[in-house]
Amino acid sequence: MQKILEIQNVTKRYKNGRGIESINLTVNQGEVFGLLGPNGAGKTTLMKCIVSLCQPDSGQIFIQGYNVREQFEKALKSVGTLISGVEAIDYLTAYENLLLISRLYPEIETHRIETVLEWVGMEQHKNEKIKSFSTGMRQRLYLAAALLAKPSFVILDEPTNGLDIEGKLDFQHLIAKLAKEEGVTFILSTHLIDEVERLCDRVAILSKGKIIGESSKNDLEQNQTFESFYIDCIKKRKETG
Amino acid sequence: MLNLRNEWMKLTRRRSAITLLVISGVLPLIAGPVIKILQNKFSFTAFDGESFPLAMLSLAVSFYLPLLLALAVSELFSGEQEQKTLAFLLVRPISRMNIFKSKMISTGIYLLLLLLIICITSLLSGAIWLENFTMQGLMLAVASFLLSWFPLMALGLLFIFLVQWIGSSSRALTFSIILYLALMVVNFLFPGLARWLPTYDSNWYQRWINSGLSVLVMGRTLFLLSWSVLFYTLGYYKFSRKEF
Repeated sequence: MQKILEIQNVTKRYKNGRGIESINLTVNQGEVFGLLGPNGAGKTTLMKCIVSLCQPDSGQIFIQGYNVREQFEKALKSVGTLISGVEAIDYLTAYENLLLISRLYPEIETHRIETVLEWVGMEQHKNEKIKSFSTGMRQRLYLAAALLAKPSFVILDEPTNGLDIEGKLDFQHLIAKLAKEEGVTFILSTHLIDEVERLCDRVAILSKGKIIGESSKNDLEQNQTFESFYIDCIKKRKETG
Repeated sequence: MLNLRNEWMKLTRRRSAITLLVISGVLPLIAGPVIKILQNKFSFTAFDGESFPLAMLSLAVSFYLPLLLALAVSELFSGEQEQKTLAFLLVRPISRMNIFKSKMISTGIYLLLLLLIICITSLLSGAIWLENFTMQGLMLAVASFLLSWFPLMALGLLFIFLVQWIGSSSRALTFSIILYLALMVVNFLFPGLARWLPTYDSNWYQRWINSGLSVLVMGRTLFLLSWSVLFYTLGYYKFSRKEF
């Protein structure tokens, strides 16, 4: 299977001591990969390192074979991103925010904006300035932004934060559909276990900046779920200190 | 350039930017008739149609335009960092160099637009309300306004470099204004030291009017160019290493 994302021994430490340490991960084409962990485990730091919003202290990251640090534009060419804490421009409308992004992809036509807004159920709000949007509406817009450039690989950091139940279900349905019908690869960070159970083919458990377990659905023991796998990993981690 | 339209859109869709563009146009339109009334009332001629645009330019380059420049720079860099919108484009396939360059060019175009608006409205106001408006004066005014872009842009690049350390637009603006005032004070108190600063060339157009393309003007041109290249490079270096 072709490797879409390869993370090699990546460490990033902040001054407060938090961060990630010696992360090794591979995401293969067509997978929906879940990065699961409690708040503060380092999920967003890892996601930010993948898209170069922060630079690792050591290690390397490759997307579709391109080193993210050295060949950033090539690496991100067919990647969609939704990173927690990154905001759209609130004095512009939803449509205009997506227009800004579409201009960075010369091959994308502007009618694609309408399509992705429809996918996330925001077509009726496209001409509203986003400063009036709720958290859930913003999250839908960010998902639309991630899918705008017809990406083959999508990075989603806590994508259902702020979404209501209907929004979460719509989102899960959309991800499953894109993965199955269009072969889009996803890496999805979350602390919601039900989301992982429904969507992911493979998960890695992140705790205190380290990967403490990794398993695919097929590798789980009989009657084991990702939830029980997660609990086992956390228990083992506590036992070993 | 891929991102230039984006940065221009972000800059000019702000209410403050549009308001300041309008004010820039309205001020000379009001100043013309006010000066005419005052001159008639007190029977003196301080400004005529030829000198009025240059007087407006002198005021603009000394106080008004550096302030607007600082405002644009602080919003494009520190403001976007503060509102966490800078990363909205940084996670797309576009290099930081491209983003930095397009922000800088947008600032330059905005400055040129402000100069042109003040130029046109000053010329109109001078032509309508004041005497002795000549074609030679018009040409001189247009050339002076265009020449003034260069030292102001050198100052803008200093602002761009310095705001990279400040993560709030209001603090960046305050800092830039204080810095500019300090540079102006140095200009008056320490003329020897002032030659090393871009504020020394605030009335840059006057050097051209007085001496044309002289050795002094060429020397100052080289100095401003070097200054611009230095702070563009340092500014980009800091911008490229920012983490979010």
